[in-house]
Amino acid sequence: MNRTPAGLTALIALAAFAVVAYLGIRYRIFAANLGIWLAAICTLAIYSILYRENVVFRFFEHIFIGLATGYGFYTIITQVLQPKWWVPVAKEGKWYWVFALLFSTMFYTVYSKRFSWMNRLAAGSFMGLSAGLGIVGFTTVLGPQMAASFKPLWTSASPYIVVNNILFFITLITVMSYFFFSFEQRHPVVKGSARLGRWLLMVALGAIFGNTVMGRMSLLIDRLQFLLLQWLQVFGRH
Amino acid sequence: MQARKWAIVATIYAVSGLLGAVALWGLTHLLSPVFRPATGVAFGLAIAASVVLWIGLVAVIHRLPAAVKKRIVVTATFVAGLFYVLEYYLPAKSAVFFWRAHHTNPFSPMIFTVGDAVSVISGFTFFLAAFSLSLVHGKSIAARRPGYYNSIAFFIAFIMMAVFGLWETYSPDTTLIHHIGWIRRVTAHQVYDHLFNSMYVPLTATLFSVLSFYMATAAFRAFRIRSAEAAFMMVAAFVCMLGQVPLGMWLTHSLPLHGPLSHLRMEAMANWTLGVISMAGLRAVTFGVLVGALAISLRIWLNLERGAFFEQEL
Amino acid sequence: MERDSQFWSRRIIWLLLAIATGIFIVVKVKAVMYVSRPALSLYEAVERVPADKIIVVSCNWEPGTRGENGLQTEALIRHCLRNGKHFAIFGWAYPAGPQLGQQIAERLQGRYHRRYGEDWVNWGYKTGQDNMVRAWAQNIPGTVKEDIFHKPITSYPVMRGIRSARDVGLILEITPSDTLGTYVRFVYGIYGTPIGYACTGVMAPEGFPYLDAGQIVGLLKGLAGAAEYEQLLHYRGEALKRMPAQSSAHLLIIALIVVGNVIYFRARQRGEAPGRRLST
Repeated sequence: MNRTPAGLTALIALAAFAVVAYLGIRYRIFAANLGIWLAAICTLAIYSILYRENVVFRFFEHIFIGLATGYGFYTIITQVLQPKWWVPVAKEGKWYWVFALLFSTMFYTVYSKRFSWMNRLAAGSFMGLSAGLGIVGFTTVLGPQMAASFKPLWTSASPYIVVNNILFFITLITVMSYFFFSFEQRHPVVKGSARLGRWLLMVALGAIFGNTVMGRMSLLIDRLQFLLLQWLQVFGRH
Repeated sequence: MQARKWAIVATIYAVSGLLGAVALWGLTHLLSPVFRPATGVAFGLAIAASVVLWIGLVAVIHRLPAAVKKRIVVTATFVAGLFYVLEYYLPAKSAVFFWRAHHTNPFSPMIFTVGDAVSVISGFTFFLAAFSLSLVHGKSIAARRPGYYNSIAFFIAFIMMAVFGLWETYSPDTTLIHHIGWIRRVTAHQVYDHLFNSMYVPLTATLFSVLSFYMATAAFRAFRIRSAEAAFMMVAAFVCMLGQVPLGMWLTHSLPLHGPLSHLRMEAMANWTLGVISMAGLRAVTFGVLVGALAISLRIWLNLERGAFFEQEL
Repeated sequence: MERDSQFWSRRIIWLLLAIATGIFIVVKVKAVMYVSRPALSLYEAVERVPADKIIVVSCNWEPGTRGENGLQTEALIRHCLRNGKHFAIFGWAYPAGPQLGQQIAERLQGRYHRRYGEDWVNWGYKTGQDNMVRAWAQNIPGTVKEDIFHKPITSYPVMRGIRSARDVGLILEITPSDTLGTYVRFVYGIYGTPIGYACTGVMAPEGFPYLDAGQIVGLLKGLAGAAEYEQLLHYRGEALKRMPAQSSAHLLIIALIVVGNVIYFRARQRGEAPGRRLST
């Protein structure tokens, strides 16, 4: 059996789509707005992956990568480099900022094996800065967290707070003991503590899973809301 | 023997760090009269001299043996990290800084300059990502690989977004089309608006939302309660899922809002799970992560880290 | 044959998800949210910001999480505009964040008779991550320089007296990623500036240790957090309208897990599925 040429199939599909779109707009089923139509086409093209891998999804995926790269490109030029580099150099005469450009060119030597030491030097400097900030950040984050971990195990306030503090203490100690891998856990107290810690960690993992489901569904609801209420205009204009 | 070796290494690091810091400070002070804004011919000469000096420095370092280059990289890493460490851990004001006007920390004023410089350099290095992508897709087009038309679409989208983004910033009211047929007037702003709001935003949002479908499939096919611990985890997940939506809140809405029974309300149980047990477990994990991050930072700072990147030949 | 059934069973599940969620988008059901303590704390923190300080609305999110962070940003900006709190939109993690925040603020400002430059400003996107934030906390005008419209930020009345993190009354960090740590480390940890956290659902459990330690003053958890905030504002916005659909989606996921496990255990009893226990 001869298969219909791909080009003819695409032409027929495009024509059918155009007819449906025209009739839909004519009889006010769809919104008559170019922006909404563009957004709807982009949305449906991405959702086509749910049926199976196809050329439309790949095409729009590449368009997305191009748009994202282009957006980052122009944003960096207009909001970072222009006010923080070009204006100081070209308008304020701060010639020494040219060293920032010269230093950043060292990152581009990653493509050259002969000059890759320059990339190592630039990356090493940045890693050093990050490492320094990491050492500083350790103190500023850990201090309050440790202080807050010393909760009173007995207080004249409500028994709810007392019970919570005791549960917090048990959970913290047992979960920490679960992560002691530098020695073998032989003693029954240590083993029991680690086992209890594992159980209590399951609660944290369950909470993370529950919240992950919540997060992902919210994103789906956002797109469905657009398709149903703004594009299809179910129950009138929104 | 091992302890003596570590003591010597620590002393070398401390002394070299101190010398490096003093040298940097001295250099900054000596050169500060040079680093002043210039105009006209002086500006041009300063730029030219900077470029020549930079190329000369790079040429000199390039000719050095690999071991010396590695030592330069290690020293640069150490001094870069030492800056933030000294700035934070030395007091803001102390008699130790006797040479300063109000005995203030000499590194604090440099925070702003270093932050600005890193911001600008990070901006320039973004183009590396754009360049890499262009290289990959350019090769795909040149070699006419299957699906090369996708790479053409990438370039068209990239160029259009970049061009119209810049146009939108500097001249948004530029008219591109004056009254052709039923098209009345098209400006650069309108094209940019469609590219951003009608294409970029929906594409990004939809790509992220596809994950929800895979989550639903995973819920049906992969989440098997094979042990008591898994059952415990699922109960916690169900409580958190129901306790944060109106349906779950409605299930226990007949329970009082105050008093002992209020703790059995679905939203109270969800908040208790998140705020007590889960919080404690994640805090324990955070302690481990913080210590691990400190260890990694120290290893990178002191050149103790090993791996393909750190051990490659220069 | 088995491959075909797997193919179609997945598509049927996806169709069920779309229907279960779509029904409650089209059919209007009024949802009431009970406000949690973290959301209430954030609301009160915004109310407490003094008139001479600015709120930083840190839009470190991108269009992908618009369904959560977008609605959180809208609720928080609405609160600031309603109460006349001065705020600045800022971003350093994702280039699109400040522009998305700008669109939201521009849409809402007319309703509360607020003006750009007098009541709020957009500092735009800056690169440099931790290093930039560390410098920004010390010198805001020097680090930011221009707003999103390329005018010097010091030319705006709203920026009068704003020099460093000490002049910031509250930072509202709205993000899907782990950028809160940067503000906690280099702004709260050094200057003591209060931070509020509005995150996606995925990141919410990780925010609670910070909340307990007092490093953040309040927390909004994803879409539910945005709905709680709208409840506090007595405004029936998009977040509250979407909560019935969210409920339906959660119910479907729970049903899928239960049904999937029932089918699995029945197959195991019949000896058709491998049964093994994880060692405890």
